[in-house]
Amino acid sequence: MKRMRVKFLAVSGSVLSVLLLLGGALLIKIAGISDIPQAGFPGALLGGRYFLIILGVVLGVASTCLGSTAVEGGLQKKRYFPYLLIAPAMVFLLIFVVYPILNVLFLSFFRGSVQNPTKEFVGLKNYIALSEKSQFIVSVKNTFFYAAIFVTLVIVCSLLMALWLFDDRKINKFSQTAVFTPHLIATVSCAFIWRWIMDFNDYGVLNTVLSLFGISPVPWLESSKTAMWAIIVMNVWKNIGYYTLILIAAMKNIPAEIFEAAVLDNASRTKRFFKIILPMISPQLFVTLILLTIGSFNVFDSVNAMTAGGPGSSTEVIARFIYLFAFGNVNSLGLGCSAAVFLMSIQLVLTAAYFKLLARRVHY
Amino acid sequence: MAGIEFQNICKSFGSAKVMENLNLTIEDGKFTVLVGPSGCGKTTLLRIIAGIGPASSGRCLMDGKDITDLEPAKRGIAMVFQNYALYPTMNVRENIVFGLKNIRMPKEERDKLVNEYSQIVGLLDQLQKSPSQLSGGQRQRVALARAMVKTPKIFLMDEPLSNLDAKLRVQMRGELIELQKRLGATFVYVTHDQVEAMSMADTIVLMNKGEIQQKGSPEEIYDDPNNVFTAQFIGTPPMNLLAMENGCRLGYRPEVVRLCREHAAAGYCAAGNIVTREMLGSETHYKVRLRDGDVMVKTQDKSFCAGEAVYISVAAGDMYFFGPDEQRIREGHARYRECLEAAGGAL
Amino acid sequence: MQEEARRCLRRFIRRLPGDLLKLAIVLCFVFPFYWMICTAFKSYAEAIRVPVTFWPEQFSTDGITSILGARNVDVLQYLTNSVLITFGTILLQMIILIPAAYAFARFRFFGKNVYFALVLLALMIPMQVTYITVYLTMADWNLLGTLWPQILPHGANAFGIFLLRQGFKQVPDEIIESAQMDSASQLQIILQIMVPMCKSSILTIMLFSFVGTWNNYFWPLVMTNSEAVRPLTMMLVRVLDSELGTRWNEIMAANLLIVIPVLLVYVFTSGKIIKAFTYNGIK
Repeated sequence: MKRMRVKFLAVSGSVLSVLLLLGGALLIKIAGISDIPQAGFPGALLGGRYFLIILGVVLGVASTCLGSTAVEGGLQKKRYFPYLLIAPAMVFLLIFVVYPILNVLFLSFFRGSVQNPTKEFVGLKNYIALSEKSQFIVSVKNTFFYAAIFVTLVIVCSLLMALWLFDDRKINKFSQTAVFTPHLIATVSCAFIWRWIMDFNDYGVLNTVLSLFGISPVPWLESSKTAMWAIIVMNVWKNIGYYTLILIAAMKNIPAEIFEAAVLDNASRTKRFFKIILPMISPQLFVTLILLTIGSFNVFDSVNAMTAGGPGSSTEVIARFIYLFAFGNVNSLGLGCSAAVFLMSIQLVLTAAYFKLLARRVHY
Repeated sequence: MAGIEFQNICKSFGSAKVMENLNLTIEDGKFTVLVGPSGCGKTTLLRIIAGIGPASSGRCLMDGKDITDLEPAKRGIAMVFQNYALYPTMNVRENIVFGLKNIRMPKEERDKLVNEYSQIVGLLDQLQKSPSQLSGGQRQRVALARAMVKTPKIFLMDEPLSNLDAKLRVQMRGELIELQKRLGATFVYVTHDQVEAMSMADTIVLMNKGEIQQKGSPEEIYDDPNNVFTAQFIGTPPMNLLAMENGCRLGYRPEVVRLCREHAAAGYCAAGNIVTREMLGSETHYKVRLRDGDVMVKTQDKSFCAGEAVYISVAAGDMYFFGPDEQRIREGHARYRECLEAAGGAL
Repeated sequence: MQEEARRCLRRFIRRLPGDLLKLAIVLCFVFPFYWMICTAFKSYAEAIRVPVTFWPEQFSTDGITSILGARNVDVLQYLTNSVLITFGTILLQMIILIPAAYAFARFRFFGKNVYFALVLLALMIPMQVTYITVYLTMADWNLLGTLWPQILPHGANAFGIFLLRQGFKQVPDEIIESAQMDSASQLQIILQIMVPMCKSSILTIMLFSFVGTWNNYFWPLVMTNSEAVRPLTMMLVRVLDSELGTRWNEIMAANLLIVIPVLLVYVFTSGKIIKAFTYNGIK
């Protein structure tokens, strides 16, 4: 059928355009930054090195238009319109999201620096170096530790808070607002506030308050045993309010009648929670869990501001490793990139794992 | 099987007082229907019995025992909600069995009850399905089975048929009546549909704005209304009401009106014109414009046409009188004679 | 009536322990802020005094004046940068996101799912990974000394497209159809129907963007080489750098500057922020 042929052309055209885009980008990277004409933003775009990219974009647009003729209605003016609408967004996403992922992956196979990212092709050597670098291993361990405890604490505490602050009462609304407020504040600000509170000198408020309860002062940020816990506490404090509110909103979606029926069915509060509330908020809980987990692996701001990885390397995390090595040391751009790839892979694997393990327990 | 008694029930939602000093007795073993327009308080009363929306003050007794502060689950009642309130994440069997599991009934007993009652409602082969896979009528039956399986003393139903299509509604009506006779339990049924109320009830409790307008059998409510509201709520088309010169009102039902082409010899007779004619097959409804107002006439006589001049007459025994306070003036009442004469003279 | 009062009293007593606990927890949550404000208005001497005072004995604006006057900290520059970056980002996003969300919500076109999958993908990719290439790209384009590296990359906010699409989908078809019958141009439809009808969604996105951009620390850290283009969040580290050691009252005063605008916006939109943040509708 003619339609099938057109569709085939369109799809292959799109694929070809993507390849052209990638090829063009590759070429640019291999040629290195130092050769860039000094014309600045608009000039660089029109330079020859971007020719392949422009060709790819044009081909992509053409094939999409071609593809749209395969859809009923054919080639009309209003068929172009949606593409015009999404074009700016797609261009931005391509340049600032898709291309970076591919580029980072690409660069991880090289030994290079900011001035010359593709100085030397080393294949998988960076990855092997990672596995041998104790600094990296420590940061991976710390990150996993942080993620596990953080996610668990946030989910459990938010659920409990949500149940507790669920009823429509003034004091609950007030509590919800108060608990939510830390979320609005910059992580660095929170980090500094807590650094001040947890100061081990005698003017650190936390220890002062604890001593009122007879607990001896804890060197929160100064001891390698407690530093990570301090960071976790700060982040939990900051995030609990947001997730509590999300869960309360999810719980409010459950029709009141179902609760009443459960009460009449003699269901205890625990039964009501596990058999009714939990299954009925499982979609939102599932998404929250995924986003929380992925986000927790990116932890950086709080660590950088509170402990800068110390004491020792007890709070080094993967994001800090990437930060230190990508632009920090000479010739370690590739190493930083390989750590970044590693980070993304963990997040991908975890998301897939969540889907595999939990998807069937989610009720839609 | 238990009777229910309300003593001086008051209920406020925030600052809005919806019910004040309501007293009511619901007989044991009967099918009682609470009926009235939206917001009249019928569902409120039901929820007070259930314990899920307790009264602001007053007492509620079941079988003589004060249950006002008793937990809902311990009252020996079961409720069928308007939207069925089935647990969407459990299948039919789990829905039915949920309450039994919570009181730790042994497995064999549970299964026996589930099978017995799902057979009664005809759902034996649907037990593994989830509620989203069932039709409205089937979900209804699951809600019913869930209620029955608890073998409660009192069944509470909150407009359970209002979400079903007309045909299914009629069928379920019959099934519910049969069910009540079979189980012999006390049914308290809430509806806003007066046809449902009339067809299903042993006792009707008609409510309006948080007050009981009248309580009685369907016949009593229909033939002997206490006030204007009751007279006009029950019956389609509603009772005709005309103002009289002495400040009272005259009422008569559409089906007792006789249409004739000549003036009647004696008694109440009024002249008018037929405004509309609706021929419904087995009966015809006419709207007749009299000097004092419009009346609806329900008769099997199809011979009159719109625009025709007619005379209507009503027998004295079919007339109802209501005072300026909207209360009924019956025979033996001081003003009855006066009203009868005023009506007889109304031409 | 007496019964009602008695019942009320009983309920109050029953709830009291729980309510007190709630207030205690609220206190714990809010205390760090109180401590920040408290410290900001103490003199350095009092701030580090032992035992701690929970209320400044001597109300002092030392902290504020020293950062405003500090040689190595140009507060006005930081503030200006933050404001420009935030508003620039919001503006750019509105221009990019509204048409895109509109297209995804109301049109059928070849490849729509692929493009939308792209959006979903962007949702999950962290900036801690993309920054490497974006920095190189910005260097390529000679933009590093400007504010653009902090604005442009956030132009296509995946979360924003997602949320706006939901909002646009809820506009009833009939309204659009009657506008088309009135021969309204597409631009008119967007500007005069969709945007006004989805004001809450748009406000949501703007609030999200505002808070996210204003509070961003990582991105300015990696995208900027000079203080001239750095926003308020980078100021804290500079304050820390002062020669006299860690002057906590100054740091807290600096924090005030970062925190107060957000709190102001919060109060101004009176809780719409909360609704905004929980208006997720993810299923």
